Amino acid sequence: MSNALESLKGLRDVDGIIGSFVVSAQGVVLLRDLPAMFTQSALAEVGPRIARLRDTLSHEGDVSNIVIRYEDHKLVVRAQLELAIVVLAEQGIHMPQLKMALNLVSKSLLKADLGALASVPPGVGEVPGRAESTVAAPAYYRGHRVS
Amino acid sequence: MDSLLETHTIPLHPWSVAWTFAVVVMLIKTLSSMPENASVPTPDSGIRQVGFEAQLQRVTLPDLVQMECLSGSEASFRVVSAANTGYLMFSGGQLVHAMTRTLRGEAAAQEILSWQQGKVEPCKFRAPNPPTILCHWQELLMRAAQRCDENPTTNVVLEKVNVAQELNDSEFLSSDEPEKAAGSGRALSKVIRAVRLDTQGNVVVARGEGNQEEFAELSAYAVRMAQVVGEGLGMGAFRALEWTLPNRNGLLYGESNGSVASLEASPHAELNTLRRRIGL
Repeated sequence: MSNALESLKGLRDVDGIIGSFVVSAQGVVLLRDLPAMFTQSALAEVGPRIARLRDTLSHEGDVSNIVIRYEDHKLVVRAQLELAIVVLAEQGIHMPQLKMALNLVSKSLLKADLGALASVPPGVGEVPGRAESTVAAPAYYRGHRVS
Repeated sequence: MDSLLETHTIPLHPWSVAWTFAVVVMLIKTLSSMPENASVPTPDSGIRQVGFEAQLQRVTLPDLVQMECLSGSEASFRVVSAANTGYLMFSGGQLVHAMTRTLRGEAAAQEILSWQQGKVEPCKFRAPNPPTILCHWQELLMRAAQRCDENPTTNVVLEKVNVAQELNDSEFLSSDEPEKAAGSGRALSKVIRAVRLDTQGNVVVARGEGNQEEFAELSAYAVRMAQVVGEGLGMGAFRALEWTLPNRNGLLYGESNGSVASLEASPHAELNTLRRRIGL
């Protein structure tokens, strides 16, 4: 189990969090800590859409936070360089607590080598088959190399 | 046909008294030259589906207004003059809506018509209903010409409306709760730009700086992405979207009637009042 995934699981310390996952700027889901009802195919569809939403909103500089409110839930996206942490939460989530937790997790993910993050062997929490696609290639974010 | 062309090319200063007279004469000649059985095209007549795209030089804004109104146009145009941007929207042979960064309705039309040079391009805005300009287009041109004749060296002096006040009106915010909207004026005092789209994606209100059409497209697409992400994860119906940029914050929300309101505000803007008002 990677440190990155452990960090992600740390988000669950905040009440009201259903789960979370990490998406690359290209929309590839790199890590997940979600209940089993969220299928891989659903995430494979959602990942690129979150990336497109992030790109859409980054018209005056890079968007750093996105909060989408649904009828009963919230989706919180913390974007940082190549990665975006996506948190599924209940409507009444304590936002200051979540923001602080996201600060810690995003720091932790940034410290982790992106290549190493992508190379985590498929296990309980990770999306299988994604590691090979990014481990060898340098990571770029909006034209700038970040690893 | 030749006589018509000659009439259109009379070289005149656009806002001289002679110009005012020429507009009237030209109009009478144009109308009288139409066959009796010719009808003014209706919105459904498909007149916009055929024809040419053209780039014309030295065309004045009154020329544009006249052409669009006489053709029964349903078109909208963005007018850019130096640092100013305005919009003119036509429907059913009338100029029915105009807006600038700070003005709307006839006041905006008068200001736009006072601009002496710039560029005009079609845009996708659709005129709101009810129209904000109620007078006949000829009367509007007459007034604009008269103002310029009286004060040819300066732009028309018009009462400026604060952007926050504009956002505060019932057209932008929910029309079913105007009294609550009135209480949110302070919260919106640092709004950079805002748009409101109807269920078909037409921009019915736009305020603030920058390319509002582009912001409308951005907002519409962001809503769609948020909806499909929510559907993919079983999150329920979309309600609102907020985002943080280095120099501004965005807030976009859907309303019960299906319309979408979207705004960007300074990071120092206090949006909690608005959030509460829309039930977030």
